[in-house]
Amino acid sequence: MPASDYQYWLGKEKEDLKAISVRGIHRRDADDKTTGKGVYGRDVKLPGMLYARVMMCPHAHAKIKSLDTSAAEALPGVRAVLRYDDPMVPPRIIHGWDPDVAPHIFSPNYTMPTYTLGHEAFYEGAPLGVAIAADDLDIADEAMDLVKVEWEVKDFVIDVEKALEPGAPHVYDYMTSFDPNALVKYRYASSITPETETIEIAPGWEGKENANNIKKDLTFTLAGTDLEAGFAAADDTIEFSFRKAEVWGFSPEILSTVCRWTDDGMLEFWQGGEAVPTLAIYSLMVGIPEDKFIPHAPYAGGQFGGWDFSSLFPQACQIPVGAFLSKKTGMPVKVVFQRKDEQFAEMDEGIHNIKVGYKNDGTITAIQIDAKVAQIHDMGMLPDTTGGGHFIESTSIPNVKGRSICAFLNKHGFGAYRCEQQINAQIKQQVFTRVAAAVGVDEGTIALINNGQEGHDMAYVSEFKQNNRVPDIDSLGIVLDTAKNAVNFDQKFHAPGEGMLPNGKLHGMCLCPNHEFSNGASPYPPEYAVWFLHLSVDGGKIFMTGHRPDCGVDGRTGFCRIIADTMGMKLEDVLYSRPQEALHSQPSTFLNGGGGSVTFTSISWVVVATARVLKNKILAKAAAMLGTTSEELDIVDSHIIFKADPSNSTPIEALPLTGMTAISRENTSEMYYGGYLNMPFPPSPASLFISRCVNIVEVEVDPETGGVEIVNAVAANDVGLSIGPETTEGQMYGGAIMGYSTSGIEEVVYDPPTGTRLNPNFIDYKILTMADLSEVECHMIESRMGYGPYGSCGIGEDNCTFCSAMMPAAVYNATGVWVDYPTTPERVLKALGKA
Amino acid sequence: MTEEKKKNSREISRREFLKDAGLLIGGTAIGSTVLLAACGDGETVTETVTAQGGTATVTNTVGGETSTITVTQTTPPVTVTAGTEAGEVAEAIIKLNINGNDVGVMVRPNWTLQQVLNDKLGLIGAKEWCDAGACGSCTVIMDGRPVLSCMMLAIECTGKVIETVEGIALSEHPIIEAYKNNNCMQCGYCTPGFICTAKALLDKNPDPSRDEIIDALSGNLCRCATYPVHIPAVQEAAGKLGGS
Repeated sequence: MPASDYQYWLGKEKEDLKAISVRGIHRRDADDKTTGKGVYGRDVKLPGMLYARVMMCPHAHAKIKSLDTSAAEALPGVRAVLRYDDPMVPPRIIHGWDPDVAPHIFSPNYTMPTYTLGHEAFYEGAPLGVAIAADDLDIADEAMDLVKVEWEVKDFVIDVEKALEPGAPHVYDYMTSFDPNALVKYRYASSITPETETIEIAPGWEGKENANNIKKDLTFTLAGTDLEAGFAAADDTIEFSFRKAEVWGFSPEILSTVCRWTDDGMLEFWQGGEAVPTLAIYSLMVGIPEDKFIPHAPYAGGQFGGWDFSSLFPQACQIPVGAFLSKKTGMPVKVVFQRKDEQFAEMDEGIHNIKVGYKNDGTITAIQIDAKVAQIHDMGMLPDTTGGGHFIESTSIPNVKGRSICAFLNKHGFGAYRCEQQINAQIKQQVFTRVAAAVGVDEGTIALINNGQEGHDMAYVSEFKQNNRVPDIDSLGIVLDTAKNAVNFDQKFHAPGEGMLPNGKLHGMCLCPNHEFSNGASPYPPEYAVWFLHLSVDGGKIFMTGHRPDCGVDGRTGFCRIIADTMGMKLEDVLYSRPQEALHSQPSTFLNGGGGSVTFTSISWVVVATARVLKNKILAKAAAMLGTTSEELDIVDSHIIFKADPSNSTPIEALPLTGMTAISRENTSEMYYGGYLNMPFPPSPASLFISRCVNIVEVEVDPETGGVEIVNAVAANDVGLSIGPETTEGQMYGGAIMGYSTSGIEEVVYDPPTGTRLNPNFIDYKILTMADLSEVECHMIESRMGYGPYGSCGIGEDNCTFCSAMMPAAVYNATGVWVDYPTTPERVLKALGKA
Repeated sequence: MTEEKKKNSREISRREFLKDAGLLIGGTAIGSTVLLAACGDGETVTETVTAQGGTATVTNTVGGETSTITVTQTTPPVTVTAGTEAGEVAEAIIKLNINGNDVGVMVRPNWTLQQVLNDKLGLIGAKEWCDAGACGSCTVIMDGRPVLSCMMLAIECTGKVIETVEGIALSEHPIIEAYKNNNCMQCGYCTPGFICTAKALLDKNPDPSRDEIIDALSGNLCRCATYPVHIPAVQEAAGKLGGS
């Protein structure tokens, strides 16, 4: 398809769009979700189905010395007991996503090592020992209680800094020759842009006493960085550190998976999730080829990261355990977790030490970051792990260097929980707020002064836009003005600690300026999406068949909108067919069905391309039947019309078109850069980060109780162009509330003597409710500068990520003192010297 | 750690406690054919169950009114082991009025109402999220009040009138359309619980203020944080019902 075909929308004004950016259209899943008909993974029930529980380790680090399952096996109603030493269970340790699985994306050590079902656990709640299938869960639970275990309890460490001290307990003590930086050599060497970034792998850890728990140690440097010169050019410097506590990466739906074997040896499974399960991993775990899996994707009850459960432990054990138990019993087996069994956390837990140099006008001259963080996923660019990423992506700060040491802990996996960019956002917020306070301005002013990309000013960005036919709009200026005006910011603005209110509380504000970042399935190589799509026409309707990518962003409706607009069909004549089928088109990428807005935006290119193919086929066939040429015809409102005389029209349903299809399996990166932008590879990251957004939160802090009340919240996002306005706004206010929740009140609490969690339940783990925050004023700006069709861009993780950074800065503005994340009353009182 | 210590240290959720209590209640009461179950409002239900073969007849007296239903059992009786002492726990047939229909269902004494709705009756709208009475996702309306079905033992509910999201939808209550119009769902897992709570509010207060809506719905958690749009949705439904 020629490049011009990808750019057709540029000449299409918003008012000419039919199904795009139109309000008042119900989500395609609205009926299912408001009537109780929507089937989630938890709801799947098959005839004769058995129920299974998996043993979870009660210790932070322990090994099974002996396991007696005889009483459990004898319990009436127990149908199968799967022990770790069963020949079915592969004894190998799974090191996350294997390089053989996704060599261009993931490292050999994507997650921490684990077993499918082993005899040793490296964190509390790890699956091990035994799984039991029974007639119902009551029996399975009772049987599990009858299992006798003799444990060898080992030393553990759950604190990042302690894990890096000489003599610290060795987390993965079976590993004697682990090269902590092997993955770095593998992963980042192929993913950075050498012209703008460099990496160094710290040498010399081998053989050192405190090297046991090092997962990696990297230093990232923005091209051209001279820290010494940068700090010398500054009028002053600030050095500070902050800590981030663990946030529980839970899904509302407690995970369960149903597995059954077909007569011809296929493993059929049902599991709700935001992404297509990575069958390559499960192939290793179950021991059958990928083509022998039949995945089904019921609705997912909220999943906010991790892409699919194969990368998350203990979640990943469900499919292999279900498969083995189903094989043993010959019956379908539903593996069901309990609430506390679901473990996952955002990757930003740790301590971050930062030095920033700035001039008196707010120009930042240099930033140095030293981070020690918990074991993390290795996705994304290196700045993700040092926290420097957002300085690179949307500022002109010329000198940025960050070092990140990632430590293994006796804790569950840490990864992207809406999302891995949180640490970037937190460090940027802390730097901007501190510099703003130091020079007596607000954070928005700091953002404007330092606006740019990759160390260049906005002239560099404008040149990029002009060279690539992207509208050159001052996105930051617009969103900043919009957000500030919404809360009367300039009138309310005050220096930190100077906002005493008549009610005795302390008024505080935080302004978070940043960019609409693109991650995950963006078109930026190598994290592009390859997507399979099948369109067919029958009886005047267009049917789209593809995996349903949805973690709540309403991909079904969005794709139907795009098809309707591209083909000239009425929206009601475009249907998403077979939404519960999980079509795995490309097993070695994790991006072919992730449900977030970036995935949606990126693979919308495939939808556009495929819809155009089918439209052209329909027009060609219609032309033959109507005795004309396809150039003379068009499709408008589901009718074939003559362009010269639109009143001469024929309903599509009146034509014998049934059976016509279009199939695409496209690389969105090639479509975007090679087609739309016509850029050579590797492209500039600037293509993805040019839209900006601003969040503002206003709080009142009670100095007597430490309570922090959010009294006002505003989100202004340059969304490029919204495909579905209500859905886009939902990502804005929903993300903002979730972010304020994580930075304000959420924290997984551990018991130091045992290393076990104290609050893996929703009595003790608090999230914001409607009583805490029931309104976020949303403003959408549509610059059409995004990387998706129509100039759209995904924003689903942006507000959440930025607001996850903001509450300490708001409390600082109120009180004049800094509080670590989250800003709980206890922390506030302690910071105020009252506790 | 020994097995005994492991068992002692096992975390007991509120719901597990409730279920264990249910086993004790059921173990003593269901052995006979007469079940006396305390109802939430202090009302007493007298229920007589007679069984022959696979068919059971339940004569139920609630508030002086007697009704009789016949239930055909499709699955064989199940023997389970309760607690730490092996022994048989009988099942019982309870009568519910769910979404306007009389239903007889065989339950174990430790089953929650949410389990029975989901697993036995196929009403999957009441969702399990927290399993501890903290999230509101399993909310149903019982005798006009929103209740957490994961915190109710099914045997306590006999004789109760229960309304689930499925029934609210079938009745074409305007709250359903209002929720669609206001885009009140993202992942949608908690949506049915919100709808039940909102409908119960409107039943009692057809013209709720913004604060009253927030107060009523603040017990329902939503991780997608759809909170802002529930308020106009409830207001829209109130308007269609003749309120504001």
